[in-house]
Amino acid sequence: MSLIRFLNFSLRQSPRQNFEIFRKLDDAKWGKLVGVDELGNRYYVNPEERYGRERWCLPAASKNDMDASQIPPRWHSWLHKVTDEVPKATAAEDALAMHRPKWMVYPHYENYTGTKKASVTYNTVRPKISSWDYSVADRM
Amino acid sequence: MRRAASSPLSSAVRRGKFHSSSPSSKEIEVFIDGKAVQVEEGSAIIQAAEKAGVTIPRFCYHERLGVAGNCRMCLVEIEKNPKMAASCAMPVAPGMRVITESAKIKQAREGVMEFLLANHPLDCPICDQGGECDLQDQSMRYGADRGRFGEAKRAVEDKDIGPLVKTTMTRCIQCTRCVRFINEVAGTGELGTTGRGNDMQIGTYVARPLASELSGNIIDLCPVGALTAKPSAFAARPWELTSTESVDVMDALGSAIRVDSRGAEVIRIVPRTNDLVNEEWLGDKARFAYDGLKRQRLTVPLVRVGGRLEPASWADALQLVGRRLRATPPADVAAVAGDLADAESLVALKDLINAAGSERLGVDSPIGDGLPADVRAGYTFGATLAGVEDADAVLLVATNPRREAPVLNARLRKPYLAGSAVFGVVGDAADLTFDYDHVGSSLGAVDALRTGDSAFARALRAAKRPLVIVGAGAAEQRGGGAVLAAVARLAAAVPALLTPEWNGLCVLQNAAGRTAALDIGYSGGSADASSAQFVYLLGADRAAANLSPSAFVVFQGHHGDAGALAADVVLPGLAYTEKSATFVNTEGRVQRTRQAVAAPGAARPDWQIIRALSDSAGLPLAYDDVAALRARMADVCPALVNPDVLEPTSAEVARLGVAQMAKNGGRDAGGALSLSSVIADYYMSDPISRASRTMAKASAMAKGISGQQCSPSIEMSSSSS
Amino acid sequence: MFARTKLVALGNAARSAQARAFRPLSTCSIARSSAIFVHRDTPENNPSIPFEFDARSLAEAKAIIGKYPPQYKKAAMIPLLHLAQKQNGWTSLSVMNYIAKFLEVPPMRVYEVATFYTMFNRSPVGKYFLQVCTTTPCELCGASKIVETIEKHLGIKVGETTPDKLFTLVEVECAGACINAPVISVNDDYFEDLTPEATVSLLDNLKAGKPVTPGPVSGRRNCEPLGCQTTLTTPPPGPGFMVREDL
Repeated sequence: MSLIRFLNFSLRQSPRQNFEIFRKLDDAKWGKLVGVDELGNRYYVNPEERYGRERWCLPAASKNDMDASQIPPRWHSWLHKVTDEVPKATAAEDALAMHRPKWMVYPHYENYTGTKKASVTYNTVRPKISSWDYSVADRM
Repeated sequence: MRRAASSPLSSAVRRGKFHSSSPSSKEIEVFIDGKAVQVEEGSAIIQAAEKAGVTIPRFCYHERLGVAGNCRMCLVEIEKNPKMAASCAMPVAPGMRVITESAKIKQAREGVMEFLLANHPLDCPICDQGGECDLQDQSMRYGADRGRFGEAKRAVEDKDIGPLVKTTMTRCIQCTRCVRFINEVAGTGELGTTGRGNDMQIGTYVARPLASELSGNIIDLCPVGALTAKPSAFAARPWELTSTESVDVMDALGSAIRVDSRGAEVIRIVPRTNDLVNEEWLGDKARFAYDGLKRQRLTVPLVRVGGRLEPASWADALQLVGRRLRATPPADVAAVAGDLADAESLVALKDLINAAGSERLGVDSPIGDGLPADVRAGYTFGATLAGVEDADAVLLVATNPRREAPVLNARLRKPYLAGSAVFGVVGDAADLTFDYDHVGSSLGAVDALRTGDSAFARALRAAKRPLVIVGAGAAEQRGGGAVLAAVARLAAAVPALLTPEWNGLCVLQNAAGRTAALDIGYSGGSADASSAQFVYLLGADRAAANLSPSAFVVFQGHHGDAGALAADVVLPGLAYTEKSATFVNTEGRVQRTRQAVAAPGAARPDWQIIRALSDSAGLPLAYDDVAALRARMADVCPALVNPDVLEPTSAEVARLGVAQMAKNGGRDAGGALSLSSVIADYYMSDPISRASRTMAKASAMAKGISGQQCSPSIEMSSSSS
Repeated sequence: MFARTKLVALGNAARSAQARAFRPLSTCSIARSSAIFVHRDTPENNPSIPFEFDARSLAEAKAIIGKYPPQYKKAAMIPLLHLAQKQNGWTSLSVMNYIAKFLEVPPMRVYEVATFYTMFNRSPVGKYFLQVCTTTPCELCGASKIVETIEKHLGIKVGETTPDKLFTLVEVECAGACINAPVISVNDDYFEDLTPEATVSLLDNLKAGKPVTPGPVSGRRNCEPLGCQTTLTTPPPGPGFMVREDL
C-alpha cells in the first residue's frame, strides 16, 4: 500500500468511514456505493483501483464476526464479476428482476458450521445399548 | 475326577504323582551377557535373564505353565558349551555365563522364525490377533526379511471348541501353551496334540467343546491368532481400543481385569496380573459376559402407572420415592443390597434408611438366616486366595469352587498337582478337576470329621495348615446357621485351623457386593423385606420374589430383571464398567473399579441417585462429592478407603468369628438343608450374565456336555470287575 | 567346434536362468499321512459302540498294569492299546475311551498316543493286515514287485481293503528284517525272502484258510546265508588269541 494510494482514498471520505474500512479490511478503500444487501453489507465500486479490486464490500458484521459466507450468492456473483447486474434490495424486486431460483435462501444467512447453530443430522445408527423392554405385566 | 472315600489309591500314594521340583531358596550367581544376577537354584536361564532385564524371545515358554521347550526361539549360547541351549528348559548352574546376543544366536533366531513362518499363513490383515501377535512382533524384531520355503503351506481344519474360543488352526505354531493350560491349570484335559510331524495338530480329536470355565485364557496364551475370542471376532483392532484397568464383579474374587472399550461399547475384557487374586487368569463369565452390558439395560427412570411401568423424569421419579419414603412408618422401611452393589452406594443407602429411622438393611438372600456380620472373620476368606496354595488338607463344605470362583479352583489344583494337599468335599460330588474324598452329602459328615476314622478325617486333624472353605450360599438359606455351627464345631476339634500363623477358616462368598455390605453393617439376612411396606432394592433381584403385594418397591440397578419387574419405581444405575466404585472381595480386599465407558441413557452413578433421593425425601445426606462420601465410608468401615490393602486377621479375632458362627446353630434347621452350591449354572448367575447372549450360548453348551464327563468317573475296581 | 560348444553352453545357461526365474507354486509333492488326526463319527466307529476287555485280555491287562507303580498306571497305555487292538482288530474310538477309563486318564491322553503311533489302526482293517516293507534293502530285493503282485492279485491299491474285508494292504517303513528282504508282515507274522510266486501262493492259502508257515519262504531257517556258510568256517580261536605274550 503506497502512501499516495492511502492519501488518495482516505482524504475523500470522513475519518470515521476511514477508520471502519481500515479496521475491517486492513486497507484504505474508497468507492461509489452500489447497493446494500439484506444483511446490511455495503457494496462499492472504484474504477480507479487496479483490475480485480474494483468491486469491494464492507461487511455489516463486526470485525470479529465477519465471514466470507455472509455475502449472499447474488452479490457474490456481482462481486466476482460473474455478472454486472446489481442485485435488487428487496426479495420481491430481486426475484422479479433476476429469476432467483427457489433454493436460494432469502434472507441469506452465513455458514453456521462450527457454531451452535450448525446443522446436525439425526442418528441413523442402531443404538449400541438396548434398553430393557419395560412393558411388563402386574406384579404377582 | 471324583473318587469315593474307599478309593484304592491312598492319599500317600497320590502325593507322589505329578511331582514338580522341590522348591529351593538357595540363590546362585549367573552371568547374563556379562551381568551378574542372583537367581534361585533350579530356575531356568530365561528366568535369570528376565531378572537381569534381558529379553529373550519365546513362544512356548510361559512362566505359569510347564516347560515344553518346543519352539526353540529362546536359544542362547552358554560359554564353553559347543551347542546352543533352549533357555526355557536349561536350568542355571553356578557361575554360568550366558550370551543372549551374538551373530550365531541371531542366525538361529532367524532360522527358527523361518521355520515357523514356513507353514504360517500370511493372513494378518484378516486375523484378530493382528497388532498384538507375538509371531508378528518377533518376526519383525528377530526374523529374516525373506523365507526360502516355496512349497505349498500346510492347512489344518478348524476345530469347534464351543461358543467362546474361535479356532483357526492353520495359524497354529504348536507351542502347546493351550494344551498345557487346559491340562495343568484348568484341569479338564480335553485339549491335546494329535498326529505327529508335519501332521501334528492341536485339538480335541473328537468333536466336543471345552468344558472348562477358564477356557478363555487360552486366547490370551496363544502367541498367534490360532485361538481368538469368538464373541469379539472381527469387532476391533487392538490399537483402536481404550484400555481401563478395573476389577471384575462376576464372582466374589475381584479378579483384576482390563476393560477394552471403543466409544460407548466394551469390546472385550481381559485379565490383568494380580498374583494375590487371580494370577493372570480370568473366568469365562468375567471375560465374556460383557455383551450383557449392552442388553436389557435400564436407561430411563420408570414409574408404575396402572400396572405398567412408564418412563418418567428423574425429578418425578425421585419426588415420588421421596414422598413414599416419608409417608411410610420407619418400622416398615427396608432396604436390600444386591449382589453387585458397590460400597459407595451401600453406605449412602444405609445412611438414608437410617435417617428415615429404620435399621432393616439386608442382603439379597431370599429367606435365609444369612451370615453373621458382627466379626469380619466370620464372613471372609481367612486364608487369603494365595494362601490356599500352602494348605495341606482342604475341606470344601457346601460349595463348588469351580462354579462359584473358577480362578480359585485353579489355585486349589496347585497343591493337588504338587501332591501337597488332600481334599474332602461335603455336599454335591461334582467334577472339581481334582481328586477328593467325598466325605458326605449331609451336615452330619462335617461332625463326623471331628472324631471320624476315615483317611481324610485323620489327614484333616493331623494337617499343619488345614483349610475349610464354606460356601456362603449354604449359610444364607433357611436354617443355614446350622452349616456354620457345624463348621465352628469342627474348628474346635482341629486346633491347627486357627493359629497365630494360619487362619484356615474361609467363607467363599459368591457375590461381589456381599462382603462390602456386611462390612458396612447390612445384616447377613434378608431383613424381612417380605413384610416391609417400603422396600428399596439396590440391584437385588432374588429378594423381589418375596415381597408383600402392597409394598412400595423401588428398584435401583442397571438391568431389567426380576427386581425391575417387581418394582413400582425403577431408578437406572450403572454397571461396574461405567462407574468408579469400591468393591470388597471375599477375602476382604478392597478394590476399585474404574469407569471405562459412559453411562447409558439417563442412568446415573448409584450413590448420586441415593444422594438426590435423600433431598427429595427431606433427609439430605451430608456428602455432595465422592471425596466427602469416601470420608464417610472411612467412618463406617476404615478398610473401605484403603484399596488393595488386606488387613490380616489375628487368631483372637478369628476365634471370635468362630464363636459367632457357633451361636447361630441354635436356630431351627427347618427341614432338609441343601448343601449344593447356590450357583446352579455358572454362566447365568447375575443380571449381566443373564442378559448376555454369549453366556446363553455357553450355558446351553455346558448343559449339552454335562452328560459326558471329560474325566473318567468310573472306578478302576468297577471297570475291572 | 569351439564356438558351437560355447553356444550350446550359453543356451543351457539361458535355459536354466529362465527356469530359475519362473518360481512354481509347488516344487514337490508333499508327503502327508493318509490318516486324518481327528475323529469323525461313522457307523462303524463311534463312541456308542461298546468295547470291553474279555476275560483273557483283562487278565493280561492286569498283569501289564501290575508292572507299574499305581500312580504311574498310565505308563501302561501303549501295551494296553496294543492288547485292545489285538482283541478288537483295530483301535476304534470305543477302544481308546475304554483304555482311558481303565487307566483313569482323560480320553485325550489316549487319543494323543494312538494318533502318534502309526501301528494303531484307527480305521477298520481286514482280517489279514498285509504290511509290505518298501524301505531300501527290501526295495533293492524287489519289494515293488511284491506290492505290484499283491495289488494285481487282490485288486486293491495300497491303503485299501478288499471288499470281503479279508485283506488290507499298506506300505511300511523298515520292518527290521532286512537280511531276509523282501518281507511282508501278515498281522504279527513275518513272511520273508518273498518272490512274486511265493506271495501269490501265500495270499491264496490265506484266502482259503489253509495253514501258512511264517518265516523265510526260501528254505532258510533263520538269517543264515542261502547256500553254504561263507564266514566263520574255522573253529573259533582259543583264549589268548591276538593277546600280547607278556600278559
